[in-house]
Amino acid sequence: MSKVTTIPFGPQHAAFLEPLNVKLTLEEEKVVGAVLNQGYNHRGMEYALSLDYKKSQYLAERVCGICSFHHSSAYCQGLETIYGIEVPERARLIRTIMMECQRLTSHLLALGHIAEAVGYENLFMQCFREREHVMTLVNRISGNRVHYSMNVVGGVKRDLSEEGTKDVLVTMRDLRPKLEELQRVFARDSTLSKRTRGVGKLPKQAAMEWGNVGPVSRASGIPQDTRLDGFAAYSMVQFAPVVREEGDCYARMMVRMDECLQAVDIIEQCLPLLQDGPVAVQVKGHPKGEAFSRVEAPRGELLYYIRAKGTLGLDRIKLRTPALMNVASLLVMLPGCQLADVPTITVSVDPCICCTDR
Amino acid sequence: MSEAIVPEFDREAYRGVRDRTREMIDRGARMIAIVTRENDDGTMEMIYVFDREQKIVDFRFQILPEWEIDSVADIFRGALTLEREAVDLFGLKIKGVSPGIFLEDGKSPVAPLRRKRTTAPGGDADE
Amino acid sequence: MSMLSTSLKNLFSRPFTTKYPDEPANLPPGNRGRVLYDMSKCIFCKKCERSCPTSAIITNKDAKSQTVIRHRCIVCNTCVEVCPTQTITMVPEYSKPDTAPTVNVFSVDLPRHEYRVEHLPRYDGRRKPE
Repeated sequence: MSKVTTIPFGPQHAAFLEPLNVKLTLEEEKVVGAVLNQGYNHRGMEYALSLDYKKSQYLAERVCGICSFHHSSAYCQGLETIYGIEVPERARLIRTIMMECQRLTSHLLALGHIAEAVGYENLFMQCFREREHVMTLVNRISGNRVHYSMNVVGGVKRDLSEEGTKDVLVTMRDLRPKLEELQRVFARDSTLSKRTRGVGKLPKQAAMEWGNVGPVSRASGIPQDTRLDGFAAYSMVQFAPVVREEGDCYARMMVRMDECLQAVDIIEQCLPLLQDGPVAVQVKGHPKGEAFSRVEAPRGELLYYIRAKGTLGLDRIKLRTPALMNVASLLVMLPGCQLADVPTITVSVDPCICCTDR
Repeated sequence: MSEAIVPEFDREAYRGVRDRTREMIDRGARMIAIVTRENDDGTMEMIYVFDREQKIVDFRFQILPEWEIDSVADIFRGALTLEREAVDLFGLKIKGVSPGIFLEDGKSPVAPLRRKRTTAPGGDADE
Repeated sequence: MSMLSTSLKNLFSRPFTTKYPDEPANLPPGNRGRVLYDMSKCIFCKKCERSCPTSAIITNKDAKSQTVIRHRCIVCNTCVEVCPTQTITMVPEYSKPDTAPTVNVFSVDLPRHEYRVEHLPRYDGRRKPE
C-alpha cells in the first residue's frame, strides 16, 4: 500500500513566472488530487478603476503587461458605446494592427516558455530572438515596448506615418520565413513530441463545462473566437479560427504557433486598407449608462462591464479576464499525470496571474 | 427582513436562479461572468451574463445582502471561481462557498468593495 | 535537422545581445524616456498639473518652478500634448537610478532643460499616506 503525500507546488517556483499556488496530493510519482489557491497578486484594481474615469484609461493598461493594449481597447470601446460615438475607420485599423502585434509577442513568449519547461533552452532562445524584432518594431511606432499608451476614448492619439507603414511591412515580410521554420521545429521535434503528446488531456465536454476560452478551448475542438464578432476592424479582414481536436499540450502548443502565422496574415491584409482621415473623435461631458465590451486577448475572451452615473467616478466596473476561467480547469488536467509533467501542463495553459487576481 | 416591507424585490427571481441557469445551459449558452453591484439604498443587484451564439444575454435580480443564494457550481463547473469572488469581495452568502480563498481570512479587510459612504479620504460618497 | 544547423551557425557568429550597460542601449528616436521643461516658455497655466494621471507634476507660481516627481511619472505623453506653449519635451533617455526617491525641480533661473535634484525621505519600504 503506497503512502499518500502532500506537497505544495508553491507560489515561488523555478518553473513559474508568476505566483500560482497548487497543493498536490501524490501517490509515489503520480498526482491524484490538486487544490488551487489564488489571490497572491490581488491589487484591488476594480476599486481603483472606478475612482476617476479619465485617469482609468492609463490604469487599465497596467492591469497586465502582456495583453495591455487589449485591456485599454476594451475600456475605450466600452466608454465609446456609452457615449454613442463611432470611431473613424483609420483608428480601428491601427488598433487592429497593434492588437495583432501584441498577440505575436504574447504567443512567442508562451511558446518559448513551453520549450523551456521541457528543458529545450536552445529553442527558447530562438523564440525570443524572433520576438525581439516585433518588440523593437512597436518601440519605433508607439514609443515603448510594453505599454503602448496609444488609445484614447474616441480613437487613437498617435498616428501611423508613411515610414511607419513601410516599417511594419518590411518587418512582417522578414519575420514570416523564420516563423515557418519555427513551426517545422515545433511540429516534428522528437523531444517535444514525447513530452507533450497525450499529456494533460482536456476533453471537449469538460472544456464546455468549465467555461474555457481562448487557445485552450480551441485546442479541444470548440471553434470559439470573439474576433468573429467584428469589433475594431476584424469585420474587414478574412480569417478562420484555428481548431484542433486532441486537447493535449501538443495541440495547445500548435494552436498558438498557427495563430502567430495568422497574425502576420491579418496585419498584411490591414495595411493596404489604410486611407487618409481623422484618427480621433472629440467627446464632451460625463458619460451616463451601462455597456458590455468584449475583446479577444491573446489568452481568450476579455469582458468589461462599465456602468457610469454622470459624475467623475464610475458606478461599477468589472473585468472578467480569460486566465480566471482557464486556471481553474487545471483541476481537470492535473490528476493522473506524473509529477514531472506538472510544469509542462501549467505552462501550456498560459496562466497570467496578474490578470487572474487583478 | 419580512416580505411585506420590500415588495419590489422579486423573491421568485432569486429562488429561481438554478432553474434559469439550467435553462440557459440547455440551450447551448456559456456562462461568462457574475457581476455584483451595490445600489444607492444598500441593496445588491446580481447580473448573470451568458453568451449564446456570439450574443450577450443576461438575467438580473435584486437581493438584500443578508439573503443566501443557491450555488450553480454543480450545473456549470466554472461558476465556482466567479462565486468565490462575489463572496470574498462583497461579503455575500452563497451556499457551499466559504470565504477566505481569494482574500486572506483574518488579515485582509472584510468585503472591501462595499460602499463606505463617507467623504473622508478613502470614502466614495460624492458629498 | 534544422535546429542542429542553427546551433552550429550560432556557435561561430556574433551574439545577438547588446552588452548593456557597457555598450549603449539601442533606443529609437521616438522612445518615451523622460520629460524635460524649458522654463522660459512656461506661462504657469497649470494644465499639465491637472491632466497628469498620476499627479506627478507640482506647479509653484510664486516661486516660478515646476517639480516632477520621477517615480510617479509614467511617461504617457499627456502633458506634452496639452501644453499650449510647447514648454515640455520628451527625450529618449531614461531617468538614472538613485538610492532615494528623487524629485526634479525646474526653475526660471536655471538654463533650458536643467534641473535641481532633491531627495524625498525614505520610509523603509512602507508607504505613508500622503
